[in-house]
Amino acid sequence: MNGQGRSAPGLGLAALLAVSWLLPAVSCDQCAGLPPGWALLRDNEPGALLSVQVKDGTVWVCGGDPDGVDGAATGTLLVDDDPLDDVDFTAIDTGLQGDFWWVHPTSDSVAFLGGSFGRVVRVDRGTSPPTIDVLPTPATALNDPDIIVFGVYASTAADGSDDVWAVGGRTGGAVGGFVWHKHGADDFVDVAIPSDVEGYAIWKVAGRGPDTVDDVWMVGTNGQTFHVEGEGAAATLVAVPTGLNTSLFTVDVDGSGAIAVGGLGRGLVVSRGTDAAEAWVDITPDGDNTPPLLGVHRGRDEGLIVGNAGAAYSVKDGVMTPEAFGFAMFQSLHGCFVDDDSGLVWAVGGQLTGIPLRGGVLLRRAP
Amino acid sequence: MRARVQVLANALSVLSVLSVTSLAGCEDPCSSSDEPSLELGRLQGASTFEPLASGDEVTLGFAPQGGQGVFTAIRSIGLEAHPNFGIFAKQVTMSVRMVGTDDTGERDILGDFSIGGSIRCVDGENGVIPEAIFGLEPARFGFGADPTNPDDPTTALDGQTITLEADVSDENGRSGSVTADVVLRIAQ
Repeated sequence: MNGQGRSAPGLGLAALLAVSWLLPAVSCDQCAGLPPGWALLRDNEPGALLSVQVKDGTVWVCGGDPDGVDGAATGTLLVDDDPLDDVDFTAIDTGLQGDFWWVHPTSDSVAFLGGSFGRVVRVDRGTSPPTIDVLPTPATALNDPDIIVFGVYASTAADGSDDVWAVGGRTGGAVGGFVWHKHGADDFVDVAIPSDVEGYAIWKVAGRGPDTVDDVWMVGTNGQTFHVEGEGAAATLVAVPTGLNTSLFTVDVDGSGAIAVGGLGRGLVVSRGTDAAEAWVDITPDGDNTPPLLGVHRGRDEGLIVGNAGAAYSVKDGVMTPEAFGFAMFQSLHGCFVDDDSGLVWAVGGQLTGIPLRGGVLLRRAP
Repeated sequence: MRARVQVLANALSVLSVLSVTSLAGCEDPCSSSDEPSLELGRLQGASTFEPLASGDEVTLGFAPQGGQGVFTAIRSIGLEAHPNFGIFAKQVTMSVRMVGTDDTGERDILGDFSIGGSIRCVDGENGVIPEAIFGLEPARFGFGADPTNPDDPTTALDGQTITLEADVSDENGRSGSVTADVVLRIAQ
């Protein structure tokens, strides 16, 4: 080997070191004032926190009604427009009793919520006070708090109209699974679920969006997954088996395919690519101690998976690595979000073992 | 001169031992030679452990996403814990029982399960098992029972004083037991 041959790796290393020296500096410019690593921003909030999403720099968090549906409290909805500057979440009063299980923002001012009473709520912060629209659903007339919309996904169709999916079932997950679809100005309609399982719920829905209705997936009890075929009023569901017989709680979809997490006694992770003929593959790491996993979200370079008892794993190149919080964190985590734009990673959770859903926690990881 | 060399050698030896001790501590700071002892309680927020006192009410909860039971946590001393969590966490095996009293005053096993879990290091000595779930026997009480149904067998348990019993063993076979007499409430 000649000297030139040895110098190339040396230069490469130097370049790599230079780049790696610069990268944190860029990140720190964005996150001025934020200490790197995980921080516990909210602890033991009245309502459990169930979902966190970021859109156009605004962080949306929703969660439980600390009184169930029997008191004066309402479901939790928090918003922070400038999470890089400080921690300044503002509560939005929807005036609605019951839990909000999922939030899906479509802009920094508009978001869709799903939760108790089979509700889907459109929140518009562009007005003062915010406009709270409870959208008609097939469950509206029943006024039943135990019918729960566990997941909502909204995107924009080719014709520019809102395209919203809502999924759920009766509390407990043993019966009452439903899938509702709203296209444009039409109300939500029931969509037939091609399932031969006797009783089930559909836990979550996600798509590749936000500006496309492509590649929408749903997951539920008994390892069921469904893919949306077609668009608009013609959209239907196709069952795609996983071979699992336990719940898949959350699914995330991006250009590389879909990933879903779940499990009851032990956590499970399955993924698949974009090829329609491709099967779900169990990528759960070896080991018997992975707890039930409840939430997953992938950014460009990194994903995060969260679950019971404070479980949190980063996922890079298909390898799961336990996150070290740096502080005691044993509470169940239900939702998470990796924000590529800010570099911030979010996780939320609380006591999920019975109604009322209480004891919310909100965590943030800064670069 | 020889004495100085010996002192230096002894000092290096001590430093070496300290270094090894320190490294061992970093790898496993929650190992403890104390006699195992356990405490039943509940978690509040991220990590606050609230012990269960005799006569406290506990709720048989029905989780919206599936599962039912009395959800508790266990604080331990003397069992091997781990500072991190995840697939590398130390494991424990637990036998958890809910025990009532039948009409003749005898022990009535309402539920008896063997479950796994993880034990987390808290402050270098204590450990916490975040989830120790006491369940009811499905063959007797059903699974996914409906407490709002007056004919449901779980309804009769509402307000009864029961005993929660847990036996916990760590990876090294060290074990401890704990009991708590509590009042059972059925979530509505």
